[in-house]
Amino acid sequence: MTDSTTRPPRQARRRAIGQPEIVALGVLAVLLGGRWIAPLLDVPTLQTWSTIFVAIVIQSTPFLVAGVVLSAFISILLSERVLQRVVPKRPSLGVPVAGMAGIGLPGCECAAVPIAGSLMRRGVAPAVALTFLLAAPAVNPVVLVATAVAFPDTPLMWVARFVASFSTAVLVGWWVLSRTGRLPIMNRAPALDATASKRERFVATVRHDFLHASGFLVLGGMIAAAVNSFVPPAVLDTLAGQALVGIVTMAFFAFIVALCSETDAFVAASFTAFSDTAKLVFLVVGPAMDIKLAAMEAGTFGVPFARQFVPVVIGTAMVVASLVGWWLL
Amino acid sequence: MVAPVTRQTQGLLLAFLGTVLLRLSLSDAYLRYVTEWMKWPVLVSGVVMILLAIGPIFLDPDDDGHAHADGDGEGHGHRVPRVTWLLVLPGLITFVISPPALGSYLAERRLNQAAAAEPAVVADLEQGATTTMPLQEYVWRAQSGGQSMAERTIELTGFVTTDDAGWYVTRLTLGCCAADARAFRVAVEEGSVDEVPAEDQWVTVTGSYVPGTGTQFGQDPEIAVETLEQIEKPRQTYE
Repeated sequence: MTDSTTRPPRQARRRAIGQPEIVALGVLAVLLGGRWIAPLLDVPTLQTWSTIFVAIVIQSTPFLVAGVVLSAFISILLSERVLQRVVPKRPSLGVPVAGMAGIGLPGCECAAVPIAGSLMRRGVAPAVALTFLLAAPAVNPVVLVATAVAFPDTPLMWVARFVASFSTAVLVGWWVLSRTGRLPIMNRAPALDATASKRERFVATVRHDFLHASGFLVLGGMIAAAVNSFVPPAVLDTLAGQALVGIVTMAFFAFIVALCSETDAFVAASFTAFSDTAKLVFLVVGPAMDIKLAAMEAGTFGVPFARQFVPVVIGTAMVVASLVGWWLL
Repeated sequence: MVAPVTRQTQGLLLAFLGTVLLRLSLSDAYLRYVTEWMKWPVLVSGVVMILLAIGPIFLDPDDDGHAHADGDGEGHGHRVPRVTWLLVLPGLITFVISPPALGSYLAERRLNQAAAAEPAVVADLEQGATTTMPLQEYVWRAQSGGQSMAERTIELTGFVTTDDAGWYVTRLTLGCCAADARAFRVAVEEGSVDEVPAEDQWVTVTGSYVPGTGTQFGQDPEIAVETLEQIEKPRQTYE
């Protein structure tokens, strides 16, 4: 974090050629020089990487935009009365309610991060907001139908997914509740001008939330695309053999490939070498935590928080999914 | 090490990414990366980002200064994380590399990994007529025993992939975006075509199902090709 005392004096930014001009010129130079650069990059591996990278960014951006608009709505426009009526007063009860509320918001995990942030800003207990964050991308009807379609021969898979994802969200929520006051959650609210109109504050919040999450989304997309295009498929096949190794591999794989929850079932179904329980672990870990979410959460709630939250979520999801898989599948 | 992103530059980055999204969605280029229905969401989010950029670029570029009291005692105010610089990358890559639709390179990596999904409508195939069907449906019908395709003429479109055993008509299917592309391929029966087209060439073939092939997961269904036509890359390369 940059301390306020190290801020450059204001005059520094008032030079005739400042940072924006340099950036604009740089981008223009690359665009115009593109025809000489492009042939150097004409390698199938790199092209596949860039296609997947651009695809992840383009696919996620509309969901992130929808998420930040909804979160600005919650932050600025939602009246106190409505909020109090919807959210139960006791957080221990609010946690499962937030888990159930996740059913009603079909969306991708990228949208959930800013929404959880804005709920906290409005005074909703972090445990409740984070439960919603974990549940919303995993238990909504779109995801469950996709899962049922992807596993025609394992009809219990979608039930197992629902049970495991919901339990993970609620258990992590209660864990957060038990650590209230000790978990270092930082929630960066935009510095709003008190004299600004509601509309101005709304726009400022949308922009603030978008800028605080989008860079991390791009970073996560870069890494996920690299895994998708560089890791040899044979490496995965050799790991599928043993039960425990298979479960750990699938959890790790779900974390780094960072698929959107609406389609990960089709990918999971394709890992035929792995056991059904390992596939369930993939489906439960993926929407709850992946590299792009971890990066976004570090950006939104702070690195110290993410360092505790990320491993707890992954651990809980793996254990719960293994137990549910052993019970149902 | 890396300079903080000033407010005006934040606006530029937003406007640049917004422009890229607009441009992609207004041409057919977005189809290389995401599915058809994403056109409008991508377009709308491009517009939203350009609108968000107006303030920082033109209206109040120096708003940076007042934001010390932030409530959390960290004093970062309007400062955004430095990874925000990465927002410039998708745009640069889109314009410079212009990443192509996925082809044989990815198809080889994803071969036969995916389970074919049952089509929404499974119609009986008309005898005597040529039925055009998605490659995924062909693979699915073969895996369901193949009887539904017996003695019917079927038309398939895809690109060419090859390996030691022969060559294939291959197609990629997107779930939601190019990151989860799944490959399906149908082997061309040995001897039914004299000259093998080049790798990645788009073709339309008609022919009949070779009974007993591809009935198990991981086994390629075969087609005995009667006609082969080399075609231009279609507008929508994914199924």
